Amino acid sequence: MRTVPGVDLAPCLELDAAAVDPDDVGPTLARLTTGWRLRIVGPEREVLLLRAAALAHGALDEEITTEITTEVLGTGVRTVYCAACHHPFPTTGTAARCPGCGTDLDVADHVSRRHGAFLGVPR
Amino acid sequence: MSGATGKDSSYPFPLAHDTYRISANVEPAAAPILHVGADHADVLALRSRILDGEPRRFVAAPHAAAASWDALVWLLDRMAREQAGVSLERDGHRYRWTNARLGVEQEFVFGDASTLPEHPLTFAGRQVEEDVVVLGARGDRLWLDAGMVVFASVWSLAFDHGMSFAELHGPVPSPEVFVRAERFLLRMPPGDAWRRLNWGLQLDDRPDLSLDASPAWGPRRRRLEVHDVGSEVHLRTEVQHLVRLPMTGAVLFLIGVRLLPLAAVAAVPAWSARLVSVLDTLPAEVRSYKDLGVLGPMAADWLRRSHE
Amino acid sequence: MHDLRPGDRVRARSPRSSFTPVETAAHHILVAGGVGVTPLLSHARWHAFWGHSFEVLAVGAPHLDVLRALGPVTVARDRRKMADLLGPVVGTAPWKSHVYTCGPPGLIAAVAAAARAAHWVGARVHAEPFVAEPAGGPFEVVLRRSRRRVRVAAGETLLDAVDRVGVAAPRLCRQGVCGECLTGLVGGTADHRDHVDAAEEGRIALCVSRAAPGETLEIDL
Repeated sequence: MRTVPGVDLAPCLELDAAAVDPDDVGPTLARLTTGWRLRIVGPEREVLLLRAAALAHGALDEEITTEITTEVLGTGVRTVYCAACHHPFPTTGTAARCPGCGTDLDVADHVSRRHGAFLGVPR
Repeated sequence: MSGATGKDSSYPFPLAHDTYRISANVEPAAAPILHVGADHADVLALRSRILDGEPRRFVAAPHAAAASWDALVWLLDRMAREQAGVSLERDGHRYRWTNARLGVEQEFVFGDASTLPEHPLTFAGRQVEEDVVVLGARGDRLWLDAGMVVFASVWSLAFDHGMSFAELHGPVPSPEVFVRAERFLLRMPPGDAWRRLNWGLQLDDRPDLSLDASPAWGPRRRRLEVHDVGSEVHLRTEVQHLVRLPMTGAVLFLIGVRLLPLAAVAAVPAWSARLVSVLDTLPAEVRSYKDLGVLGPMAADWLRRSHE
Repeated sequence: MHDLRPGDRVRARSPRSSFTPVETAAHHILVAGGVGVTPLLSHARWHAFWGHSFEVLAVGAPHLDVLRALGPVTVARDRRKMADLLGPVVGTAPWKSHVYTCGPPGLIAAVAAAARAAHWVGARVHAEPFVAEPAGGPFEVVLRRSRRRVRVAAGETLLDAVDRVGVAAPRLCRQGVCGECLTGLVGGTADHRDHVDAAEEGRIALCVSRAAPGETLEIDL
């Protein structure tokens, strides 16, 4: 976590998505004043999860920039949210078996900002 | 389950034209907004049973508290205006709610969660046939802030919680329709109510076609296991109401499910002809979105043959 | 309205507003200028009822006693003192704050400037102008259905001009936001100033939009 110059020289907190625990985002943001921006950098999965935590603690889309370091979007590990049992789990590819309920899922191109996850549709 | 089988003569047949395109198709709402069918008690019992079995059929963000109370009072007041045996008395912030049909009697204080046995949205949602969604209005956008949805049609409230209107409709073809619809909703004055109809076909009479329950209904649908098309395949009409809530400006989205077996569609020749025409001319992307690739032609053929 | 006498019956509609509290805010700053305090009184009552964190900054505003009973109020003696006050309040506002201003355009501009200086994004800054934005130059408009030709004076809105000649037109926000006064634009090129993309629908917002320089408009009214 470090402070970097942001858009319009706004104070900006850079979060390394691979290192910051989403549970720590709330207390961190609560110490800021309005006007701060967030920059979230890291692999796609961790960036989405950290962005979800920032949004849950009141950051607006306009206040967040993200930089995904995964080489090609969609090729790395993503969080999939099982529509049947609501269990989120990491996986690669476009199909997976939910470790929570054993349902076979197709990974849809539908992302939840709140869960930082892709929809797993039961087959 | 016989959920809202629409045996009454007032079935809201959803197709106004011989061809169908995805559109906002809203019209001013007319009373009654809240449906009370012959199987009302069964539908309400099923709603509670699903909710109690799967608590995630209800979601509410902390910032949705005021809008949820706004929705509660609007719904109870609406029921009191439209239905017999139901009354809402008010004294300042204090209300007395009586629903003689369900044997519910409840005093509560507006905004005070401790005066209700459960969240305002589930308290109301258990007493109406419609699924209830609260869309908060912020920053010129609508957000899915809260809801009790047990009869979703191939979506999941728990997954969609927190999405913007555009994100919610991401999987639907014709996204531009929803850009215009959102702008329209944000311009609605408080208290305004609009109605739109949506439709689909399904292999059974289950109102709960949520993704959450798809292990229960999905396999049969994928195998297209049908023995008697006329009695098993149902037209699913969703009577949707959009209400601008008076205090918070949130949009209350009500979805009522009405199911009609194809045999009953065939009994009304004008409906049958229209549904056949719509199914025959459905654009490929709509057919795919509504999962009617096989079921659509199957239903159209059956309807055609039933008139030979 | 000024022709009304006590005891007259009036028809009232429920209030409409595009200036509502943002329920996700952790703190609400309400800036009131003069009678612009009116909608903010409702905001303050709402926040007090729900136990939200809020504060009021007021300049030349009435009803201060009502506000003080609801929550913290800071009063600036004049516009310049208000400008001095805004910087520190906005600059140290907690995370998740929103600011709402109702008053003359100068006050709204001062709040917007303070928010910009504190690097706030626009989505956290809300305003309800109490005085219409200054209008542009004069032009002529043809009301097709009424078969009238009306001259719109500099500083007068198209809506005011239509009112002046007694042709009924719907209206609500008078800010180009609500879309109530959108009217079909049949001829001429307009200088669209609305926020609802009236141009896209071939319509014009009577409350804010005008003719482009040298143009005469024809509208479906």
